[in-house]
Amino acid sequence: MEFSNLQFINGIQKGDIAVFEELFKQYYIFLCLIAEHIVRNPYDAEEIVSDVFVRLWNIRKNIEITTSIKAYLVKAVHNTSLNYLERHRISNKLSDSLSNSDYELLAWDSDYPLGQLYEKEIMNILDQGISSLPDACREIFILSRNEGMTYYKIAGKLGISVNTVKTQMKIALARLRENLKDYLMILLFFIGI
Amino acid sequence: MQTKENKQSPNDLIPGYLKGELSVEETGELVSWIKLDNANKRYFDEYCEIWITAKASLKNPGYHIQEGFWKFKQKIKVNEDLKIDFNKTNIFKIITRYAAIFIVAASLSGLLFYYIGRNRVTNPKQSFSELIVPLGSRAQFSLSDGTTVTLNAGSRLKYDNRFGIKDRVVQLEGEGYFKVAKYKERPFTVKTSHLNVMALGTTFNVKAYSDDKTIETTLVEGSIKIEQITDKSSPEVMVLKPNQKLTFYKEDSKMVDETAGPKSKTENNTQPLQVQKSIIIPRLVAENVNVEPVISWKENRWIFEKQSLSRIAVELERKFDVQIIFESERLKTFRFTGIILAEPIEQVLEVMSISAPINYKLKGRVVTLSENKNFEELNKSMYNQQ
Repeated sequence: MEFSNLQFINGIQKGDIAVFEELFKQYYIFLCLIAEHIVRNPYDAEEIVSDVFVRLWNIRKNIEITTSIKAYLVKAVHNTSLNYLERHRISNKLSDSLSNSDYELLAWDSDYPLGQLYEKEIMNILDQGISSLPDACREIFILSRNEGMTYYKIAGKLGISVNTVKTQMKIALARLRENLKDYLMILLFFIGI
Repeated sequence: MQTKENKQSPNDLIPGYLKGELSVEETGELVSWIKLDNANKRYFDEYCEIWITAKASLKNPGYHIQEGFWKFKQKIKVNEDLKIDFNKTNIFKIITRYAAIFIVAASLSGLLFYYIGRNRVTNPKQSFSELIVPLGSRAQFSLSDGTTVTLNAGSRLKYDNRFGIKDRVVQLEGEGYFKVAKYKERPFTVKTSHLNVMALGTTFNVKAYSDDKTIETTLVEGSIKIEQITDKSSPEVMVLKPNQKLTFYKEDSKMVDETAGPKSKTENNTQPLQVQKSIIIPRLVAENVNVEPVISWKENRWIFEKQSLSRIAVELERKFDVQIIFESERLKTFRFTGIILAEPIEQVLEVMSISAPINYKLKGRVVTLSENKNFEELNKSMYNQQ
């Protein structure tokens, strides 16, 4: 079922559980990925996203969403994840020299327009970009993204060196970024490759 | 690993970070680079967004929508249900019987229910699965036979991947509440460090933390058989009836004052136990109990009857993943009776400090408790006489 932004917001206010289910279908995974990127833990990520939805449910009668429901959810998950960082030590290793504020730095900036790429049109461009990668490069990127394989495992599986895998990943990401150039407000910035 | 190049370029480090493969040092290098310039930060943020957007378009990215939605429905349903009905008889009975009651209306943020798929660590190479519940949380899930288990903070449950095929055996360290599905041919067994608990179709609670001095098994419904694990030819076996609790003492030389002693809890004036060093007591002690306090950890209702503060502190440490420091030894012996319906820890401490002579300081994950000497109703009889 295709809901417009307004239909989403009305459905939320009415406590329409079918609308919430649709929200989950569309945004749950993306939101979990955002949270996981920040807190570095998939279980905590799910808890954070779940809490955001529960909070939304609890205040549903009084919500005022001036932007889109997507922007609202992304912001809520982003903020909750950052708060989580403040309250918990991310790493269990005593020897970890990174502070919580370092991990905050590795999360997105509060005023970074997170989520603008999460649109059908743009994701199609991303998919096309991946398909048009040179064969070996594409295979490496897909093994990385889809299976979460480490450099070492990919190298082993394809019978190549770890350095080659690293290089190809670098190339793949750079090309994808190039494909999306128009959609990111990019400050073109050359770093010696 | 890459050690020849001392300095990697950001374009090398970024993919590594996205894949979670950077060492701490390399991550530090990346952080330093990001700090140099806002443009660096922006560049990095963009790459991160590209990466997660690419992952979001996968069919199976490791997160499950239906599971997440189900959990959400459970949580909002619980929020609606947990408007406590104080006309419920058994809670009322407890309230009228004891003094020093503290009840606070709940603010129900942070109910944590993990579904089995999330916490399970299944290794197909090994033949078992293990569920690990960290401090500060709880987990509720179902086993393949329909048995539901709720695990308390700091617990682990281990079971063979062929569970249910030949037998139904799980290994528990910590605390679990089991609602066992009826399956006559295969008794359900919970193994702990010293005891095996066997049940057919029944509901019971097992508390077997490795750092506790006792193992407690409480039967709510049905019947269970408890056997001591030993290499003796005739191990001690006990059969429990509903509302009975069996306490097993791991060391048999001393009875510790903080645990509930083998007296029934019907009277208000139970004498506190004397600590005796040379008494020999049976290792398995059964008693009739009110099961409410024993299983209240599962809900957000937390009931204790004359529990010493030192024992309560152990529960708080597990439930909230904090460390509790006592500034006064005497304070440890102070006994509480009551119901707390509050989370998070700040509220719990606040409630306790209102109705008892306690001052608390909460800094990060450390709680410091001290005596509040100005507490008006300071009543000497609330302390143990030794």
